[in-house]
Amino acid sequence: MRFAATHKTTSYLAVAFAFLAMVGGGTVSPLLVLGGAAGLALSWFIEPPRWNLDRFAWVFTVVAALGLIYSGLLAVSTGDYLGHGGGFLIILTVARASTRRAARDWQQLYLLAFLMLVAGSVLNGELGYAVCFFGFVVTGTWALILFHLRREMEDNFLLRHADPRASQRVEIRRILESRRIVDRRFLLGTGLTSVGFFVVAVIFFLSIPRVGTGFFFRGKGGMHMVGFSDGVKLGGHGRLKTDSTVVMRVKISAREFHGRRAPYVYWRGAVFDHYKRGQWNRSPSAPSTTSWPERLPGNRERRYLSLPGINLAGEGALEYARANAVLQDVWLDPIGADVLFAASTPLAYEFALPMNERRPLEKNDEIRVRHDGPLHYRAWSILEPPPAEALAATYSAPPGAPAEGDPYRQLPPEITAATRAKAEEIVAGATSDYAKAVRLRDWLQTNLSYTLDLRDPDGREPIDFFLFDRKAGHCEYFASAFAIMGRVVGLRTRSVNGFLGGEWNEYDGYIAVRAGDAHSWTEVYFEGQGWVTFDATPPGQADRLGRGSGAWSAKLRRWFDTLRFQWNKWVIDYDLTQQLSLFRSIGKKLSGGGRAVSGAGKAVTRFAKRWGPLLGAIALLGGLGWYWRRTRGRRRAAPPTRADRERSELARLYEKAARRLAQRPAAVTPRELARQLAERGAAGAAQLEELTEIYYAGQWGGAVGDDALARARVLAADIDAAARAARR
Amino acid sequence: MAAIAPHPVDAPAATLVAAVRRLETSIASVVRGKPGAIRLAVTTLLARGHLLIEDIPGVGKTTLARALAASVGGSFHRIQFTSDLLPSDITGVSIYDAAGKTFELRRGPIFANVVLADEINRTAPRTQSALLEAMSEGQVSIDDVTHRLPTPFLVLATQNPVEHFGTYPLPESQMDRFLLRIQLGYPERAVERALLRERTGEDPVTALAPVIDHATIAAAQLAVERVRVDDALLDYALAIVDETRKSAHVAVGVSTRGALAWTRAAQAHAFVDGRTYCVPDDWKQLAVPALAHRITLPAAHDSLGRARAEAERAIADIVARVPVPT
Repeated sequence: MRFAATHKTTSYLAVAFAFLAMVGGGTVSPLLVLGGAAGLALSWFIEPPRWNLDRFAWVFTVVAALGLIYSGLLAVSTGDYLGHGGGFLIILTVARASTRRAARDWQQLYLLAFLMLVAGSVLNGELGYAVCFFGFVVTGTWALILFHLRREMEDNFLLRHADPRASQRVEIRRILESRRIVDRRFLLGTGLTSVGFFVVAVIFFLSIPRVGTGFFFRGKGGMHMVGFSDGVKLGGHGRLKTDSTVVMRVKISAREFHGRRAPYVYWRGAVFDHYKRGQWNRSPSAPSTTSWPERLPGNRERRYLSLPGINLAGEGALEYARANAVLQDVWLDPIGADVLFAASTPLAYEFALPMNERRPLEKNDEIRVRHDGPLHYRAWSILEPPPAEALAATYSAPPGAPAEGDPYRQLPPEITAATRAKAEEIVAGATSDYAKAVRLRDWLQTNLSYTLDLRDPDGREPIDFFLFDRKAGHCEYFASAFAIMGRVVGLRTRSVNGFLGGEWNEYDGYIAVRAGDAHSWTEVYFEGQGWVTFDATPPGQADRLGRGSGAWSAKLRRWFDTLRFQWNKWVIDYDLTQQLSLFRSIGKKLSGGGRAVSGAGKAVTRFAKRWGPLLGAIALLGGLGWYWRRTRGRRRAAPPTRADRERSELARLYEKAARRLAQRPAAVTPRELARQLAERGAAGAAQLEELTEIYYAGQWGGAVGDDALARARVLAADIDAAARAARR
Repeated sequence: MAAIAPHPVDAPAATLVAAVRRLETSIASVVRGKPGAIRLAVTTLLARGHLLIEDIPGVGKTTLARALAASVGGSFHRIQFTSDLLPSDITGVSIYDAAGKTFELRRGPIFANVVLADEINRTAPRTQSALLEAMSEGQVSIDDVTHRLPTPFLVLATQNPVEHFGTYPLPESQMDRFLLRIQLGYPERAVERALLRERTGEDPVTALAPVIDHATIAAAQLAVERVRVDDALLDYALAIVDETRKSAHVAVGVSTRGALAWTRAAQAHAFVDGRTYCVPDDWKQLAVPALAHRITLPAAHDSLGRARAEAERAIADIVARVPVPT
């Protein structure tokens, strides 16, 4: 590889990695990203001999100045200093790469690349950043080493030529074109060293105390995707898409919810009480979420919801939760809503309090926490619904009970008489609230069908249109119809948006909830039992994405999702709490080591008794085979003669003695080495010169005789002693 | 130095080496401060080769040749090459003897044990090739009669690398006829001062007496051919030769004849060094004198000196990176 070309290639790779690391987050404007990539690619070809740089330098100066003004204005007007600063970095990098000429320009290019990498650490929270970062570490090390060599060489040129008398030709061109400076071994060795440094850096990263990312991280400000939305609006036209982007990963403690055949979990999120003109909202009159907060160390808070029937306030609440509730560890990606999700019915949430943030409005037993980046929190839930008999036995409000003032029985006037009559017709004869709810649900599930195709009601009341005209709809229609019909017949209902099910990830044991798992259902209130989930959507229809298949492509995708998950968990969201838990688990493993050793010892003994003879025989055969292969070449040749033995001993003596004194480059003969050492006045050099001649006689001249061999031994010992003395 | 016992052909190597050492000492008493050049000259003699000395005038080229001739104890001729020199001026002519009515051969100066061909690049190519043919064949043909040249036969040719007006540089194929190409260079300051002090006008070469007889030289030349060469060393030599063929700094690399000559020179070098076996150093030390004049550079150079420096650096670079066998 030519020196100059290798330096250029490695430098461009480093810049490209930094560039990708920054733009990978998608926060820099696509125009600048494309322009920057094209500009960098073009700058590769702008080389001084081909281009007269002095004539074009002003162009790039003007571009950089205009870029500064443009980025500055945008940053001030939008407040997004970081994003537009990153854009300006791209402009500067292109300008610099296009006008590079001397070592100094390369140096500035590295600085810009480093700044891009730093900017990327905030702008880009994706797994791709880790790849780019690693690439930068390796290629950047190559580039910097070669840059250093190049600058030294060019400096040398300047020094030599500063004094006209001592002027000596330093052949820069020849050195730059030389293929002997950089070879595969250089790249491999340096690359491996960089990997070593990278590993050490990772260890440092994991062990230095950190604050969480909420403070620094400025992610994409929420994803915009089809799926969950913090509000319901019936109607519209088109077709719902199924988006398989993972938005939430849940580790759930109860084993019956592990696996692809586990029961579906309703991940409850936003809850609405007020319906009007096809829209569900949270009304001001809806009860705010009541909960008892408990402050925990590390600025964390645990909040116990006050739910009718299960009063968890005060002492013993956590014990109750531990005994009855299922713990979930949730990693929620930013999805443009601040609501937290937990399996129905949630009892308690625990999360890190965001800094200087106003509490969002929480209604209808929702818990909301503002977050821009990924959020990790825990939740406890009761997954088992109350038994049907208990629900059937609850007090039911008499028909015709007044609904005024009860937000969960609100009915807009536009609900048609047909809808009302239909609801009454379905529940006719039912005695309890529970029986009414079951009848309504069953009727909706059996008489209406599920579809993802949207059709606009064209000004008609959406539920009426759904029930009598379209007779098909998606989950929001089913949930709304159920809630409204329930209210018609005297039930207290509310509409819930959240997710249903999710894909089981077998590699790390979590449920990956995807955007397309978004679902809508209804909760019905039962006196003394609380809110109970009712899903009027025909079963098996709602789950469009499935629970994950066993195909290798799906497995591979899950495996990558695990990687992303680990990246988010241990790098992006890595904070003091996780650090402590990491060290605790290491400590546990270490302390458990003692017990493990004795257990392992027994296991090894058992194993050895059973398989030992077989394994031993295999190892013996393998060893014999290896030995045979190794010695076969020699056996086939003549048996070793006295001269051969002499030769090999002399070679051994010489190599050992020479190594004591100096490392011999491959192209230097032993005699030259000895002479060099003698000229340097090195200890033991005279002995080495004599030993070299004996070694030569043995190696190239055949037998040397016992006397010479004895002399060689003495010389080798002398050299050893001399080297020892010199070192002291 | 009066009694020199002739050695039989199969004389023990040690006695032959001692004789060679005497030869070196004898030359060194006249050519001061040039042990390397003397050793290469003796190496050339023992390898049955010929020597090309490229240097400016007045640094002892002629002295070296004359001292060698005097120490070997044979005939010595000097041919000053000029632009009007004819081939017959070198090889000789047949002259009609009117009295005896026969053609009588008048032998040219090539018929000598040691021939100094001074400023060989000053003469026309056909005269050069007459000399070079004699060198490679060891015989000359005059009027369809082949005459063997005496043994030992050694040509020391000199070339002035600085001047190039009115010169005919030897073509590459002719350069190949020389076993080694060396430079003498200026002596060191101390040596030069001693030289100025002691040189009193009398030519010191005239005081030299032969120290080795021709039979001993023939025996030594035979012994050189028996010097042991390990296969690994041949591989080493071939690796370097191969590099000259692949190198970007060399247009045409070393030929097989060149590799053969190099090996012969290495054997002679080992023998002069007092060994009956070759070591890697023999090749390494001879790489530049034995190979540099056998390669063609990619670009033409305006002066012989520049071209030589370039070629020698190319060879030195290659030798400095090919691993030595151990």
